[in-house]
Amino acid sequence: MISDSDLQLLNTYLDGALSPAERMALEARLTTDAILGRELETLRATRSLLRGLPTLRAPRNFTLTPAMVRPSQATRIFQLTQSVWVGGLSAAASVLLIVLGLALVRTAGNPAPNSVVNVAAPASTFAVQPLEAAALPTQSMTGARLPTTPAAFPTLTFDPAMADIAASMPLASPEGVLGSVLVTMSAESMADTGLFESAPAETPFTLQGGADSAPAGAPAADGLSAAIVLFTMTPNAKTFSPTPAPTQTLESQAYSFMAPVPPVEGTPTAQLESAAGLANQSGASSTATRPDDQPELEAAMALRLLPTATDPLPLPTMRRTQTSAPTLERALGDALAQMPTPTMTTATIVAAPSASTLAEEPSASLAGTVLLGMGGVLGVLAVIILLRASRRR
Amino acid sequence: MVGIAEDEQLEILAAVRGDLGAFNSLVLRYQDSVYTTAYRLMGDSARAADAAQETMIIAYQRLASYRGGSFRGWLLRIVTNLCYDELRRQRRRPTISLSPEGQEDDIDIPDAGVDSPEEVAQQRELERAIQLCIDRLNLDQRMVLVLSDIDEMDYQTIATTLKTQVGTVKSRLSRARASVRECLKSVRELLPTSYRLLYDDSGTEKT
Repeated sequence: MISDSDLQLLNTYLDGALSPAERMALEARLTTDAILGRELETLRATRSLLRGLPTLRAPRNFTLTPAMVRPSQATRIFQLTQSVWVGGLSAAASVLLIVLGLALVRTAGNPAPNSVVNVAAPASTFAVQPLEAAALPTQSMTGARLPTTPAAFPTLTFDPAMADIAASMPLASPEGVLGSVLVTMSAESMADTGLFESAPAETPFTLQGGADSAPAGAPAADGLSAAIVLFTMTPNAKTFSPTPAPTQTLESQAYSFMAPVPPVEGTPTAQLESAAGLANQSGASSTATRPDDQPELEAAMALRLLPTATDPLPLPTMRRTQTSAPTLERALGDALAQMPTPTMTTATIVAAPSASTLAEEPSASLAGTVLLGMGGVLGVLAVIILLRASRRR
Repeated sequence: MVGIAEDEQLEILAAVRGDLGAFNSLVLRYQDSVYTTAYRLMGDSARAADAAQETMIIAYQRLASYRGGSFRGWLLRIVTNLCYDELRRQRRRPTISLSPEGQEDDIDIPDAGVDSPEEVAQQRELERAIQLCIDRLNLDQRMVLVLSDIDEMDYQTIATTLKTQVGTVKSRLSRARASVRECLKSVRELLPTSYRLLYDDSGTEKT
């Protein structure tokens, strides 16, 4: 019986894979060791029996047809995961996403300098649209064309500190605006209200991107058929500032801006009086107030014309304060319901607890995080693909 | 002979560019070798044919990764790995063999043309006996034995193909040949006379 190592030595010898020294040593042993010699011969016989096995004839041809080599969808996808190109592109996209994500997250981390309060206030947006179907004379607005860029419509900017500061202010002041209500209606209607003549020429509001849309204070003129009216709502309003001064009288001011838009054909007459007055009705004092009781308006309103109900213009993002929003909502709802010839197609209640920049921060941060996550996942994929591709080479 | 090698290189180049006809010439040249390796590993003609066909498809799809060298060797490495995977799968989940042990398998051996019918029959018996002995080896030993003694690869190539070490190849091959030798003792009446005498001698020595 020979050892495993001798057995291996003999086999390696038969395969001609021993070093010269090993071979000479083994051959020397073979001259004296008969058992080792017989092992070698039986192994040699076995090896030549195995090597003497014939090559078999294939039972059929294994040639390929075009159908057999057409890569399946799965194969193509599999091959994509081994492609240097796909890997490289994924890596580049991943880097881009990560850079963008980081930029967004950093931007969001640096709040605008003027947003000092209510950063943590939940920013929620709501709109009281669509209105009742019966109250929507959409056909009346057909043909109207307004500037379609959001910049053409002033974004109402509210002092972020307003909600707190305003409470301590004696009367309405530009800084004391609690919020606004944005309502759409025709310029013609607004001209009918007679409100615009009394509006001051200069506005206390900052109009973002809308500077070109105002000469302020002008009544509807030829070629100018859209008007935006802002009614400021002051903290003294008993309806809208319940916490600091629930019994104070509301003061309001009206301003108007004319948007340079083409004339609207078939604009229905709308009555601002209704809208304004109804806001009054919905107030704490349930006394019906006449439209001309402007100083007692309870709701601040911005009126704006929209082209059609089916082609609404993008409204600026509106946010509401927790204090005034429910009341505003109710006021506006009532106003809309009672308009004799409703022309409002979209109405959004606005009251901002903070600067508009604040509104972008959570979403920017979130978007940045999402981008970072996507970039990370894509990066891992890219590494896997590139590794596979290099292994395949 | 240089002409054949050059032809083959041209065919490979054409096949890499997607010329299926050129690739099929290569298939026809090497299909017997590929099938034989598959049969020796699997011991079953139907499954060997499936493996050989699959090998050709895989080879065509992976032509871009062919890096020169023996095309036959490249095909044999593919079929070996394919069979290895298949046999391992089968070991985990045993299935009924298409041609059970002992049953005649319809393998086609090229006719030598000179032997008598008796001699041909006896030769086939011997080959079947050797195949049975190969089938009885464990998978790792069988892989090494077939690559070495059927495909005639050197140790280093076998080690590369099986992704293992040369030392492992040597020891597995050594044990595999010893096992086949012992196995063949049970069918020594089928062996050629010279071998039979050897086995008789060693048999008494060994036991």
